[in-house]
Amino acid sequence: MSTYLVYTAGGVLLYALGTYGLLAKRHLIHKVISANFMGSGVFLILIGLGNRSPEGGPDPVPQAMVLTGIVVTVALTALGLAIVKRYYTATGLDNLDDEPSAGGDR
Amino acid sequence: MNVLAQLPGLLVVVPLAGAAISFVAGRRRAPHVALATALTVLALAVALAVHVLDDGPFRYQVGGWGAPLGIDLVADGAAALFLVLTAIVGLVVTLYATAYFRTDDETAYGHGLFWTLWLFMWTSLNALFLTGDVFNVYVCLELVGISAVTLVTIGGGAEALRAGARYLFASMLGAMTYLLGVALLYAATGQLDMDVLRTTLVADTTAATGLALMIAALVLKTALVPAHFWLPAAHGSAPSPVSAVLSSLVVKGSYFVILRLMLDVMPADYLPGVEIVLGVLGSAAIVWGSVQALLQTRIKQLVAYSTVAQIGYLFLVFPLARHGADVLTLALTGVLVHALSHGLAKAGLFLGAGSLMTRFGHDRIADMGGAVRSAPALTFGVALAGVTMMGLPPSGGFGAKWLLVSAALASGEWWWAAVLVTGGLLAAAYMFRLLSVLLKDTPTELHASKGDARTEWLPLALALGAVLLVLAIPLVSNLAAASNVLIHAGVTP
Repeated sequence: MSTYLVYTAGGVLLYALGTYGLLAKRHLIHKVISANFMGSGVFLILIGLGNRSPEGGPDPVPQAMVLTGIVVTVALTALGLAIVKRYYTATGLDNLDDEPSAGGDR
Repeated sequence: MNVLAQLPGLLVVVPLAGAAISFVAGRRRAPHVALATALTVLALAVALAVHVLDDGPFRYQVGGWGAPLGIDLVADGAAALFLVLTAIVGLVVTLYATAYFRTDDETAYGHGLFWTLWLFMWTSLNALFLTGDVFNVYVCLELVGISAVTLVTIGGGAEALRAGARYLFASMLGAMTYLLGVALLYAATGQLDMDVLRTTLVADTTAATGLALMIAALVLKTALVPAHFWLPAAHGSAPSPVSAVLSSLVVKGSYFVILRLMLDVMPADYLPGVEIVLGVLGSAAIVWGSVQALLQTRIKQLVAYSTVAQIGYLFLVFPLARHGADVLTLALTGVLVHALSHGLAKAGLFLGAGSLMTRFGHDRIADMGGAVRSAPALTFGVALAGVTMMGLPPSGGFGAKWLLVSAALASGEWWWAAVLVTGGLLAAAYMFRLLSVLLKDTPTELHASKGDARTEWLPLALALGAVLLVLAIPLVSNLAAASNVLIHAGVTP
């Protein structure tokens, strides 16, 4: 049980760090990486969960969830980086706080 | 093999196959693939609704594995309603898009990808409405989010990319928080299936924290005030057919999960006070969204803020649900009718706004005078959609408000009824502000000459659907009776 608690505490810490970064950091790449921190935190908690009942062997369900989650997070990260790159190319800005001077006027 | 029992699987597989085929078909044939897929999915969704009405809710075991090992799909009355709404709006938007994204316009960046992304989003939405597993909800939410964010940015302009980036970060924050909630819930219960959770959930701090995190994340995804900050930019700067599906369908996906968690999975008072908080935030959304809509000078921003307001009504069901089976039935039917009427009318408004912008060549409301003269059917469509937004009789919006006001009065908590009436008045204010300009009888200089007939008549068709919905309320209430919420509450035997 204590191993599980260590994993959970570490996971929650990573998740909290990621949330802080996603909300407080200006730079768009920082935000994408922060979201990955949040994901890693949750995955750590889930991996720890698989170890809760040593007598019954590892629980495969959290591992399946983590695998699925990693795939989804990789896709999201790729999409995020692609958008950040295009936004930078279009406006020269690396954050969302400054208004782009030449907007796509729709 | 019973074909009807396969419908939930087909509703996911068919649009997914359509998406893959549209990708390899090339940009000239992709619209035809999308139209064929849309017609098929509509037929499947209607068949599912009829089947649920006849035989009640049923489960579909994906791959033949049952819960708890497999991931089951659950088809009940409420899911069938959302599937049919998605299919109707989806078909009309697909038709509209064949005129909006011209295949001969080679310069338009990313327009060739619209069909594939839109069918992927449709697939994920159908899966989200049908899934009976809290982890599968996470996957579906992410799939909806990925396709939605990409669709927002396919225009490629700086404003669209900025809105897309903001939408993506909100979506990531929501998804990771939801997943943390799932992890805690699984740690406490060892279960992911909603139906198993419903019967086994006991008072437990970890499980309650998990569910609270999941609901908070879903509230962010549904853009309930104060978590609406990403919505107006994303819905306002996307191409118009995309705005229509985002506003009318995508926010309903995450809302439907909240509905099931709050009213079906969790026992009453499992998270004490949350239903009141959701009701108060819903009321705040109605007022704040309407006031913001009134202040907008650009047409799609006005329509987007109207969505922020209309989402609020959906959350009034939670405080009302505490007052016994009769009030719950009225309130649930009310929000389902509201979801349908808002879905149809808002898609009509966004498509109409897109057509007006194409005609005028800009999006400034103040300079759209005389639209009625050059595009009477289009203006009539926008006006008719406004009737439903305001909740004037006879319209679906009126039916929804009537049911919700009845529920509020029957519950003895009259202040929810006051919120509903105020919301209707505020909606009238912002819709009249738009209509007073459109209906001005002044000659106009148009940017585009006579538009495609599809862009003029399809918004009107959706608005008419929203008005005629008032006739279908008995059908909606039958489907509501066939929903797991009312069956498990003991209302339906």
